[in-house]
Amino acid sequence: MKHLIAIFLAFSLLPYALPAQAASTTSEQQAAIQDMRKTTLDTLHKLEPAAKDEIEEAYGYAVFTSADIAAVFVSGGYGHGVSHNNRTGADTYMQMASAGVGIGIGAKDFSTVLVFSNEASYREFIQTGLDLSANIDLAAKQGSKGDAATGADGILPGVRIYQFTETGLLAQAMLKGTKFWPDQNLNN
Amino acid sequence: MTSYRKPRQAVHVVALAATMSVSMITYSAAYDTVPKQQSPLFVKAAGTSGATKSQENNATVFIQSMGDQVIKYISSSNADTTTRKEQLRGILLQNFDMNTISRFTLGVHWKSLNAEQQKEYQSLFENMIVSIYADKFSSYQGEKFEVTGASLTTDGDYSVTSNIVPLNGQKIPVKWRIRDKESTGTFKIVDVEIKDISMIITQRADFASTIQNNGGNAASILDSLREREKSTQ
Repeated sequence: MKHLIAIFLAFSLLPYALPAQAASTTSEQQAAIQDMRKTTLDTLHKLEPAAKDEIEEAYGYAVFTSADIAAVFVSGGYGHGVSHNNRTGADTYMQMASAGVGIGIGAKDFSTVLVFSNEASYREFIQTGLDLSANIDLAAKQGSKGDAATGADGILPGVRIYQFTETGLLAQAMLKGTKFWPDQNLNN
Repeated sequence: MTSYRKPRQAVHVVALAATMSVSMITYSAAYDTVPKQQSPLFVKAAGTSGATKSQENNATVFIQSMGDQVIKYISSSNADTTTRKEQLRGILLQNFDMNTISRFTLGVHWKSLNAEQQKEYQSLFENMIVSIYADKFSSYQGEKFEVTGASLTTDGDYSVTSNIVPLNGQKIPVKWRIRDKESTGTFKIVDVEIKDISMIITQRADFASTIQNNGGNAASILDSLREREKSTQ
């Protein structure tokens, strides 16, 4: 529990990820994630200016950073994030993990921003999380998108997703083998 | 080329993956932040005999030994890139059942390839894995690897639990599914899970999307893998 945030630092290759000092208390961890949210959104706004209005007008949004796991024969990512309800101003702290290699996936550390257009999709996300770890339909539909942001209507209705590294938006969202879930420790 | 040892199980997993939609994550305890989605590949067998205990211990030793091999590889060699990749390939082939893994990740499309294409696919797949991990290990920052236990699954494989321990941070739980394919006491890894996310199922989804985006032509996976290989040489 003490080192929930320090995982960021262990893998920190993102210049905009978190302050260079490990947070130890719950409030420090939350503050570090809030800082991450701000810097991540600032980066997205520079990369995709239209996203600023879209996020402000949405029901809610979630911001994550994920760092590469590079040890033994394990390939994936792990990260933390926060969801924000634009209507109420409430925040929900979250975690994410992913596994897999992939043909076209070259990014090691990246940020993910999910934009929720309605209350139902947002509430479902913050209450129970999202498990995309075995969804072949999603993988197929994702693959057909060439857009920087992926909506995947019918699979993730009411959700638009941006993923990017420090060098730019990813051509295709990397959601295969990914889970998001509320952070029980930071939300209590 | 050997065939799958447990074809019925493979079919079961295909069906599971194909029918799963965006599913919800449940929690068994308020203090546990790890999602508890029990994979059918890791259902613990009821009862444990002395022989099973011994094999579980062997399974633990096997994974720890593999981890030690990798750490030694990462921290010791000054060889050139080509030599390093071949060293890594040796560790991979010694510890992983690449035949089973490569076939599983292609799913139903495996049978659409002729024998020559299947052979090329397996070679390209192996090269991809070697290339990816050679690159990943070059950015290794000193994370530790610890094995925490093993158990027999209902389908006769062993599930070995472990953690990747960052220099500063939360342990990342990793499960290894290993199989004594020939019942000779020689284990091979057939899957790896990070927080219950299966790498081989994710890989199969990735290949399925590539093939679907190419009109369902299974041979297109060869083009994608060839292209990837060329870009990383």
